[in-house]
Amino acid sequence: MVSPTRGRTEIFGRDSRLVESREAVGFLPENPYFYKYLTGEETLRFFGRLCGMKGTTLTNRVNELLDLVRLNKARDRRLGTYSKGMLQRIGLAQALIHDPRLMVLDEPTAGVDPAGSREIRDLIIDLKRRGITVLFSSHLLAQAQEICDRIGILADGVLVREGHLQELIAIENQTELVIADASDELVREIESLVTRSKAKLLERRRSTTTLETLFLESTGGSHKASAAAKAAAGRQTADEQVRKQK
Amino acid sequence: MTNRETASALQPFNGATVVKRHRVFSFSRVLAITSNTLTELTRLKVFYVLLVFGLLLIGSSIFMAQFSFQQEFQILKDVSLGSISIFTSLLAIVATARMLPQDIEDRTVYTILAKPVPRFEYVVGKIAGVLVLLAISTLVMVAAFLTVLYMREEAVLHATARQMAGAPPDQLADALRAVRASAFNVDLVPGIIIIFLKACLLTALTLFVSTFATSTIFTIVVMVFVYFIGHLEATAREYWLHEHGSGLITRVFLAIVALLFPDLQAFNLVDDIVAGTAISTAVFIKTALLGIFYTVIYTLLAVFVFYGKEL
Repeated sequence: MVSPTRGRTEIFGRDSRLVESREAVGFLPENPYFYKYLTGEETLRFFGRLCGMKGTTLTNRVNELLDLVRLNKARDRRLGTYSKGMLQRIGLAQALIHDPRLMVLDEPTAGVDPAGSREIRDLIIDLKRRGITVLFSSHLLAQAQEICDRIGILADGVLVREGHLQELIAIENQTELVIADASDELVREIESLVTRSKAKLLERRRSTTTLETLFLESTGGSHKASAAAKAAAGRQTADEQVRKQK
Repeated sequence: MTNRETASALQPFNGATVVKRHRVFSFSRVLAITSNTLTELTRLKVFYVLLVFGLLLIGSSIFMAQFSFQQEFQILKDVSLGSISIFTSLLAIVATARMLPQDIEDRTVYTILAKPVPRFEYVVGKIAGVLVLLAISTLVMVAAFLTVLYMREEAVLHATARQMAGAPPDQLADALRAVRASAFNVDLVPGIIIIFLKACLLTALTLFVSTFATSTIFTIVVMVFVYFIGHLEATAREYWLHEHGSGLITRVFLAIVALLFPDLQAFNLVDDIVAGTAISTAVFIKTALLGIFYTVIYTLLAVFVFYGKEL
């Protein structure tokens, strides 16, 4: 879209300025606006035809993707009537229509409600499982931490940090224990063990869930709320400690 | 069914579509954009309002028939063809002016160009959509006009036959022939084709202006100026040549003016045809080629500007 001032970019060995390099890319811009007068199904058909798809291949792919993004019931509704979350999901479906190897997603959950945001997050994790490379740009750092394997931090247009997420955020000299159903006695015992050794206990507190999980549980918006609550509890402790370290 | 269950039903990535060879030009991609543009335009309410306007204008000419049948047919043809000309020109400018800026403003252009679609296919697909719309609306209006003309012709034929019931057969046949001659004239067909080509030219020029214009209003205002200047240009040129002679500088200047402001008056063949002047095939072909030439040049210029545009 933009000509480089210098240097070049390649997508799987093809110059990014060549039109054919885009065959391998699915792109979802920030706040995507599609043609409001088209229905969900027509939108996917249009983008499929742009990628040279037709006939039963296209029809099957459209059906498959409408199922994937759970918009089958809204397939005949015009996009003008879609909610923000639905638009993001149809956006993901159009980006996937030609089965790309690379997905570029710019703020895919910006302005979407928590339940919709979680659905999109799950979809992205599914793409990752299927072997598709996802380039994900976001200001929602907690979400980036949930989704990404590798991260890069940009500041004023310069890549200041880059690498595997776990390596970058690990705190070398600290260990976490998350224990369920621990008696006061057990906790005291562990603390005294720590005191007797050379190690230092930095913090002791009750695990908490996340506000997102609380919201989803309260509104019945998630089918994976309990699993997420467990995962989130551990994460919360890590977050606290990172802050303390700083 | 949950997301995850559905997702697992989806085939893992296999890259089948990626290895497919990319074609430099694909008619089906252009067709996809053309049909989408046509869908957009037909789903815009303004199109129907304009169409109704055009049809009403033709219909209203029926009620102006307070004159002799020759005058009545003359007025009917004048009003109908005039409104077809204005309506197609208006539709060409209004429909095209918002096309590219709207796509850029709404950012729909990003999602389209992020697919393997060359920019010229996008521009060509867009303009083709408007041209198909213009062709359809011209055909609809011409069909309405011919129906009205035929109905009036039949009515006048019956009235004449009734009035001359006692007259000798030769005289009656002559009178009926005179009615038929002043109704439909086959010369109208090339005149209508030229009206359509004028609208095509205006579409391409509007598209070109919209590639560098800052807003839709700006494009429309520029095009309204072009429209009026284009119609007055021939007179101004004659005056200029008369005053300044036809030196090289003058001719170059006039050629530049002619490229910026196409001589639209040259496309008003219908005026002469309705007035009864026969149009030679040579004039028709020359005017048609001029229309096609302008349309192609402006489309190429639009593609050229759009290629260099930072989106």
